Amino acid sequence: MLKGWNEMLMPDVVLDTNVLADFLAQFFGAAQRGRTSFVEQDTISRELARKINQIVRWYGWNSNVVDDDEEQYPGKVVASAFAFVEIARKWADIVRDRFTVEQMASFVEQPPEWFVIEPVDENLVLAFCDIPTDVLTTHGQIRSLEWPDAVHIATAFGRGDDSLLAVTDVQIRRVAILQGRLV
Amino acid sequence: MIVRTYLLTRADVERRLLARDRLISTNEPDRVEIGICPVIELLELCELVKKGSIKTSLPSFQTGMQAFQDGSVRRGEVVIISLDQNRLADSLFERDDGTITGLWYPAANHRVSPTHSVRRLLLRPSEQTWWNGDIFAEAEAIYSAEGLE
Repeated sequence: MLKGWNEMLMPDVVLDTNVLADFLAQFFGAAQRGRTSFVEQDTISRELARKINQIVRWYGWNSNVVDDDEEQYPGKVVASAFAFVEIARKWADIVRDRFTVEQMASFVEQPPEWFVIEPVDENLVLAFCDIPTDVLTTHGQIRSLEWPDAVHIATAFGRGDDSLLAVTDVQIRRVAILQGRLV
Repeated sequence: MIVRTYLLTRADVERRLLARDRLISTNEPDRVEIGICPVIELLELCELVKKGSIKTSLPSFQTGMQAFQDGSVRRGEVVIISLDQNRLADSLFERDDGTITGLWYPAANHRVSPTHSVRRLLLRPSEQTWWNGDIFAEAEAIYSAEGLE
């Protein structure tokens, strides 16, 4: 057990579609499936890379810890199943030859223990109800949220009150209800 | 025993949740009917309610959803099909003898709306699906025209 981490409760980090694609590009590239560090690049901010590395390292050092231990939860990296669908729909534009279909299939089939593919299910629909359709940006403007964007927010809300969200859309990053949860 | 599965369309779901139409069970000892409800119909209905395209309130939708889960779903008369990790792995990729050969084009192309992509992935027949394969074709007949972007 890593010293000082034995009573650790950390939030989950939810990735939207573009961030997930950049994460997978590093996962199958320089980060070597988490054996080396994720770095600030493309849509992955320095803070997000730091949090991902923190989670990955914790699981590497504490591989025998059970998930439901209430005093030790280092958080997980999370993406909606829908984010993988969006990557597939816009494959050429988003992936840009940085990883292959086979690699994504292997990831979906068996993600690392520190990664969760969150389902689109009735619980998500209930969380989705709580996401407003018109949101106030920090600039005081009203913006309409379409469901493909709202799904990532609902996924984050469904992962707990303190979960964090990594999104790329500048307008969504200004949404007032997300302030304090963005990474 | 004969088990028949049938598709719950968006209109069916709307009637069940918002008009609170009771399912008239025609099940007999030797015959069972199960409605297949793709979760995307619930999500889209919720979106339509939230945007005011359907004249009902969000609390009314939430109450209807709860009643739907506690009633038809709990009794096994309806099964909500979710896009979870297994369904995603099963549907999103083309395989040949177990080997990945590409993405499944009917869902993995930008000319299909996100809603219809998800619907296709949910209903795509495979060795893992247990419902009638005709349900996919039925959904295509209903939604494929509006599913294009």
